[in-house]
Amino acid sequence: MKKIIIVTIIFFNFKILAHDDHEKLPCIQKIPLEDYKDVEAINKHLEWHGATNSIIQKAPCKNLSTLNPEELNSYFFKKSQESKSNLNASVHGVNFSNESPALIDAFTSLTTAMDGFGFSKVPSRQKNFQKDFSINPECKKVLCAVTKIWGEDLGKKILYINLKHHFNASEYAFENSDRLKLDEIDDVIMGMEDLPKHLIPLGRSNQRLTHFSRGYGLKGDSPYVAANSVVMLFDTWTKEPRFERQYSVFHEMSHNVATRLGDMDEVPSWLKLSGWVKKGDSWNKNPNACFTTEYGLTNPFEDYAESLSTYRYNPKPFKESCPEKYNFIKDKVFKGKEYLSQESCSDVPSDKLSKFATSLAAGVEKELASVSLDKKIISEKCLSTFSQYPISEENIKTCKLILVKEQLAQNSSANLKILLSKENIQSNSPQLAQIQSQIAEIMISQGMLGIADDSISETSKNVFNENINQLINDSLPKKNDGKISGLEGMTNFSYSFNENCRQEIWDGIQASRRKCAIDFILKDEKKWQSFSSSRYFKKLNIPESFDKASIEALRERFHSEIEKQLIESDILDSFMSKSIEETKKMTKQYFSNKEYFIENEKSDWKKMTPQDFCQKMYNSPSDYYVKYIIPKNSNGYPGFLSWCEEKQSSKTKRFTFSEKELNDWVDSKIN
Amino acid sequence: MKKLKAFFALSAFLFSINAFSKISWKEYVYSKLPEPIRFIKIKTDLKSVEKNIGKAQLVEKNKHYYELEGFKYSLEIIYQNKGVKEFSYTFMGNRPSIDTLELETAKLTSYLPTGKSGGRFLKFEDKDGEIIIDAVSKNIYSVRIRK
Repeated sequence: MKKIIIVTIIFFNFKILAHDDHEKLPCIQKIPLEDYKDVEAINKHLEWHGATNSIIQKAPCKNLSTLNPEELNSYFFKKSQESKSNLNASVHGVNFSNESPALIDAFTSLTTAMDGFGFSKVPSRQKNFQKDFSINPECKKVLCAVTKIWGEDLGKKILYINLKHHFNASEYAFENSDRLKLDEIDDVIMGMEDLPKHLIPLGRSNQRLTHFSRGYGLKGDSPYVAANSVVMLFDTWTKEPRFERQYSVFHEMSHNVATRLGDMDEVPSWLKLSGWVKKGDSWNKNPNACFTTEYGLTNPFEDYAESLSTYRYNPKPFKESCPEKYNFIKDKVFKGKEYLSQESCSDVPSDKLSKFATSLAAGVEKELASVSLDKKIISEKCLSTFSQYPISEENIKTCKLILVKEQLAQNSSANLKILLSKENIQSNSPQLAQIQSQIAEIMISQGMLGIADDSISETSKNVFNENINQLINDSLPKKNDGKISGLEGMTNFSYSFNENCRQEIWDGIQASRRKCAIDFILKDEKKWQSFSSSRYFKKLNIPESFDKASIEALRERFHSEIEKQLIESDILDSFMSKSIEETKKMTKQYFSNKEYFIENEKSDWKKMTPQDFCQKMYNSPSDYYVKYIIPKNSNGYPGFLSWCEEKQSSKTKRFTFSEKELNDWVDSKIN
Repeated sequence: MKKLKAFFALSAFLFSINAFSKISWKEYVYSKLPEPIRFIKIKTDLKSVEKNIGKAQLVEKNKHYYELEGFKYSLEIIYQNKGVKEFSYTFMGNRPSIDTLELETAKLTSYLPTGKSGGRFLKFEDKDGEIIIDAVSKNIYSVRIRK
């Protein structure tokens, strides 16, 4: 017997000790996104940020170009020249010879397995990179090694972020990370490099900046959390428009700025600006204080991050509406630098900028011969790409292309041929893809403009209908083996359906439910599309050159087509059926929770008459339940009051129904 | 029998270091609390608390709030039957590092997640209460003691 107990204890402890080191066990609590059911969090998800995609793009001194290979190579060359003597080293099975110590350190950081927060190393997860990627003997340098592991573009950019910004974007370094895609890492870099120079590098030693495991979120977060300041990027971030992704990166960097500047987001002078007072876990604010975004109302930390982001990307309204807060950020964070105009934030002296603009315009005019450039276009579209002096060749090229694009939008494609020939661009040139993509953008722009202007034309109608069919197929949840899957459609639909159509759910008339569902989908969609975002369908990609009337016409057309499709589609019935089951479940949970209400909300229940008890306890519940549980615009659950009185004990004044009785009652009312 | 007892003792020891190496978070945090607050324990009566740290600047029902070091309110004490039921303290200035704690990262969850950003705080919670960690600077932001 003793032996059995001893063996059991040894085995038990072995399992406990082995637990932390187990390779497959996640060391961060993560849960599948489908499991989130936080009604409040989902309903609170509004467009809260300080700038839209197009405003961010047009922000003065915005970094608009991605790093090209020449810039990266030039950076690494300079970095490798910083050390006087190179080293031979072996890192996780890979041997390097005569390599810069800085690059060896960076490679070590990128390939050393840590826990999810970078608190400590996790030896059980440590890879042997030589074994997995056969780096030697072909590679003896770090640049070559990162290319073997991640591919040339991604590898160099991951290395660049580590060296320049002190953030670690390697999925091998931190648990529950997935590899960043190229467009994602470009947005990370562009967002980070919108910071003022004196705050770069911002990362603490080897700080995480990775994409969290795709399809998962951190426990405690809602599915709408795009990122955190650890820094983890989530699926919601990936789905944001590109410039909004950069805004989100900047927002998270702003939290890190607060830390860098001595937890500036909680110093008395910052808290005083909005009257922030901490009471336990919650924060109260002065109701008359000035905020830049609705999101900033949450707590002083988000207030700070949103204020910095708005300062950087949309400063004019910020300065006008909250001058005190604006000046605090200006003086204490940005060292007086402002982003109100190209002149105020550019590192290029204004006289040189003006001179350069004139010569650039002349050069492009000469190349295109037949067109003349509007100086206003140069100032609005082109100079915004210049924030550093001397202006790089790459930025000059980008600027020329922007100007040419403006012309091409109004002229025939013959001009493109002129441009290609003048620029000596060959068919295999890296710039060709860029130009082609711009041509495509122009074509889309022209095509969509046609749709907006000619919305009654049969041809465009057919083209548009095909597009809508595709949008619905891509966006709404699919039926797989009888089950409905898909995060966005079903989660959004379920909660919105319950909130907006509860009366119809209780009425039990399928046609009314359907009409209500279509109405709120369209209402939601119109609201979200007006923020250049989307809730159920893909974002309507409206070219920036559209005027307001064209945008409205296109949106109207888009929504009328969606309405038609929804009326004809039978997938809505599957949605509704699933949502009604959710409503039943929530209603049953609510009634089952009566002890909570007795203890926390209605402590004087013993003094109530039976009628009062039913009325106050269950038919006039808290604001939360009025909003989320009982049928909208009603005084309670239809027919519930009389049922309650029947089922209540006159002695204890408590319900005496069984769970089965409750379930039967709910099932009989909602069907 | 002695061997069996020894194994039980070893078992308990190994179990405890699995949760927190060397020292529990509660012991560690208590050692970092300012001297007058360190005195507060669960069930300490209201009079003793007020004798040591004075009256609260704000009282809302059974919740007493103290402004310390110019920060409103770094201390919250919740009473039940005039004894401390739980209290929370927000560290200001020199915050304790988490390096010596060896927290189980599997138990960390997001704290104050709002809107699109998860912010910079993580929460660790067990039967004794919770600690809020600033994941960026890797120190303890606040603590709540419940037991």
